[in-house]
Amino acid sequence: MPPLKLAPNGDAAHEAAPLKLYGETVRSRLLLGTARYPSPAVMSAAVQASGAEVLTLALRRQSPEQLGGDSIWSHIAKLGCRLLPNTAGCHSAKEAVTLAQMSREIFETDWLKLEVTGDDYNLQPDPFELLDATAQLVKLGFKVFAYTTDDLVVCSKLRDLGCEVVMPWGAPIGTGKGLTDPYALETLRARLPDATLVVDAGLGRPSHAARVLEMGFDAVLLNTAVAKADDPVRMAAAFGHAVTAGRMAFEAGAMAESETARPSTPVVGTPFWQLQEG
Amino acid sequence: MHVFCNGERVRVDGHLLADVVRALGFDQQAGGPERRVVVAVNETFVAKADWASYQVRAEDRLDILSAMQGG
Repeated sequence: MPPLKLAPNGDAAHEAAPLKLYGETVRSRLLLGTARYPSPAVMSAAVQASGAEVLTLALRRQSPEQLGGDSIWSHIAKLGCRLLPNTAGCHSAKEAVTLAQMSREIFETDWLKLEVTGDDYNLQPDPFELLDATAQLVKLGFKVFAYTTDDLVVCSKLRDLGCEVVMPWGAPIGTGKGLTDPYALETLRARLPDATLVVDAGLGRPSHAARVLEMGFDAVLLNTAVAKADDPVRMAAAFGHAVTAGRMAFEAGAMAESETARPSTPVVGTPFWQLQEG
Repeated sequence: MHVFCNGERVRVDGHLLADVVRALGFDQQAGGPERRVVVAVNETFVAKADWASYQVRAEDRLDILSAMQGG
């Protein structure tokens, strides 16, 4: 199998514009999770194949015996990516704020993927606790990446609170369904044109990611679609290409749709055609 | 005294958080950053800089967390 690389031709003029996250420039518009891979080595190879520069990770209870050695943390640290710790598993603003403070100390970053779950069945974010937590965390100096539903009012209020990166879901986490409500996402993009919007969760295929970028979203964040592919490394590269293609298509501006066919070949000079008399 | 460590009730000697963390096997002096832990007591974050002076009380609930993969 040939080696995988992200840039189709390495020509900088053909690359998409870089992304700004809280003032930091990131070249890849694919943010990647580090969970559910077959092994830490496959995770590392997938990250490198994807071109992702921002990785999510978490904090959990572990026994002293589980720490050190060949831990996932030692693999993630070697990749040299920017870290985006999450608050997965929190159900209240209080839990999320405490976990955020713990994350900031251990990972030495004020970036935070804020997750506050309101429903365990589909892992739907709790908008009320999410807004409460965002308000507290912004005051504490955190740079909040808020994982939310695609509700326009919630996303607007997150922005008002100082959350610069709003991350609406495409579909519930881990489902791979793609965009269950494209209309809601299109509305978000149209109504919040200056917000940095990242579609996070629910994507299953590179075509889903390409569509998100074509719609003008700034980036995608995903995990399971890569980690649970038959070949995670190859799928990671596929997502890298898809995100680049989608963004370039957005920048290029797609043609307008038409309800009727229009020949692409010039009609003038069409052969085998005779002017009929009278 | 007894405290809860990551959901389990355990007996520990000492009262300062730094001593309790060490007694529970989380030696922060040995090993690299992958052995680093952070602590909350009764769901409130306690910065590492405060461990040496923080008094743990009987039946306190300690969450001792470390880095793990996540999405």
